[in-house]
Amino acid sequence: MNNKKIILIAFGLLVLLQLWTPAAMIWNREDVMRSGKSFKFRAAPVDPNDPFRGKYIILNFRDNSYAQKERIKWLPGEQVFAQLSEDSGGYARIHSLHKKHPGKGIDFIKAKVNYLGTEGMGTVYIEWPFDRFYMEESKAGSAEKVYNRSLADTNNITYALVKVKSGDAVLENVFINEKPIVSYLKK
Amino acid sequence: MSRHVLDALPELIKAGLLSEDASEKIRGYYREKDRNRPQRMNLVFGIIGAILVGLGIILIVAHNWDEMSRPLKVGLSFAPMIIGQILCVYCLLKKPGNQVWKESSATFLFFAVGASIALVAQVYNIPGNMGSFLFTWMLLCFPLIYIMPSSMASLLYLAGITMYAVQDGYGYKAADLQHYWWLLLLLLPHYLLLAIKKPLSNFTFFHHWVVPLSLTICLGTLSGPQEEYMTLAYISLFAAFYLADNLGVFPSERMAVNGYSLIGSVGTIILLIAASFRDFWTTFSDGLKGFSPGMLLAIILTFLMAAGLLFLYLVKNAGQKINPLVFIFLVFTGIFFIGIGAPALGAILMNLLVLAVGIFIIRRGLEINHLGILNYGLLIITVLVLCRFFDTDLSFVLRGLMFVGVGAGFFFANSLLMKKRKQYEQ
Repeated sequence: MNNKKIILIAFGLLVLLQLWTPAAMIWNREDVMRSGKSFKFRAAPVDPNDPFRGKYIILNFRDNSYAQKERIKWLPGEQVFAQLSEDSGGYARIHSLHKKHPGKGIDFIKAKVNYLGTEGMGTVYIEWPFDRFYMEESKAGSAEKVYNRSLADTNNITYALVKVKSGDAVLENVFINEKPIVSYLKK
Repeated sequence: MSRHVLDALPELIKAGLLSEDASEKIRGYYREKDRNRPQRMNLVFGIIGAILVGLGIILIVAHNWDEMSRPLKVGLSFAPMIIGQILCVYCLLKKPGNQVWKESSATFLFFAVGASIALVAQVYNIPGNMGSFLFTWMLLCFPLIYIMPSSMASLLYLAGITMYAVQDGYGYKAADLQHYWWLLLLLLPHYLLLAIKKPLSNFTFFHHWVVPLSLTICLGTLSGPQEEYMTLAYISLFAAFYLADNLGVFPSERMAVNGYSLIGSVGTIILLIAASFRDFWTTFSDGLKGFSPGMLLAIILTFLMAAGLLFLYLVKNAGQKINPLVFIFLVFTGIFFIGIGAPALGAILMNLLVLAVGIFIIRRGLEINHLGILNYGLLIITVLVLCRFFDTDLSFVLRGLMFVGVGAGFFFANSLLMKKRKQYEQ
């Protein structure tokens, strides 16, 4: 086999790898969106500008901490398996935290420890893997205003709809009083 | 430059200073040089064009088109990457020896891959972990360095992994595992080949700057909680840079094309000045508590590297005059261990070391008749004096005398050199 052939084969393999990586990302997310379980995460209030990925709104969540019942040591940045349950209003909350995969049939999200609180047996603050909602450049600014106004008005309920499957989570949409945030921008 | 020389040729021949034969040879030399120039300009424009188009695509993608459906957006996210791949295949098949094609198509594909991953992340609201995004992007593009082969891809890769290390390796949530180091090793064969095969190419010179810069930026990611210990690793790293240059590894004498020499020398002086402050030494009250395994490894490996290069330097220059500046890292390391136990003594010894280095550099400037080196030495002493100006425990009279002394030194040393030059000219 001559040199040129080897180079072309190597380049062919690289092409496959380059195509496969985004394809696998897409496949995985589509699968979660198709067959994952929906959870509503209530939002708390903020628009930076990411030069690579355009305009988005940053979401903060109310249920992002877990008061431990027994003292377990965590480090900021450590991976955590957060088991989910729903409260009486149907919104997601953290049921418990695990260091290892909690097993099949349990709804959980692979997340990271953000920081730690010292009250009680220690509070663990979680960084959810869905804190950005991307919008079209022209709309992100006004969407942020609508989002912040809605949070300031305590009668409004703002939440993010998240699909969860085997630890992966995909943020599907942001709702204000059961209507997608985009519908407020068209008015 | 060539124009001036060619214009002067008839005059030189007329004056009998140059033969017809020699002037023809000079003309031939410049003709050949000019012939190579268009290729270089094309290369520069090709790469700049590819970078601009690549960045433009990233910006267009960042608009996040709402009118498009999800499947359409997902489909389009592959478009720039596929165009880049087609261009590269065309280059490999039809233009294998064409450097302009090679570098431009690889540069374009490099950015297109980044755009594709970014668009997918945007469609599925994947959160903004810049570190993991850069990591995936760089891994998918590193083979271009070897397959095409492309030096521009290599420079972009270096910039990318450096950004990645800064994102992931600094801050309170810094990752424990340092991927940067093996990512850098992947580049090494290309860098070595480039330095051996094309020692005078512009790409090689750029690498001689970007590699030491990247190392300087990223070595700190290995730091443990007590960062001051990292000065030991840094002083050895800078010594290694300086020694590599003194060993004659790099063919050019020009400072501007050799990052190792400049970064090594200036970095060493900055560390010395920083360690001349008393406060620097009082931070070690915690003893060895702030040590981490990564930091220990960094300190030992950089020290061994510098010591190895020093050994080679001494062997190579056996029997000749040795440049005493090559020993600074050993003296610094010695003073460091004294200073941990006795901070005041550490600070005094460090001040003496900076003073000695400054005086030596001034002397060397005078010896080799070089105003730049002379004033570099004076600058070091000036900075040292300025720093001591802020140390309040010295009396005003003493500080005043130091300033007068250094100011007089500037006049004296410069006028001495000027006088020497005049004598030489006469």
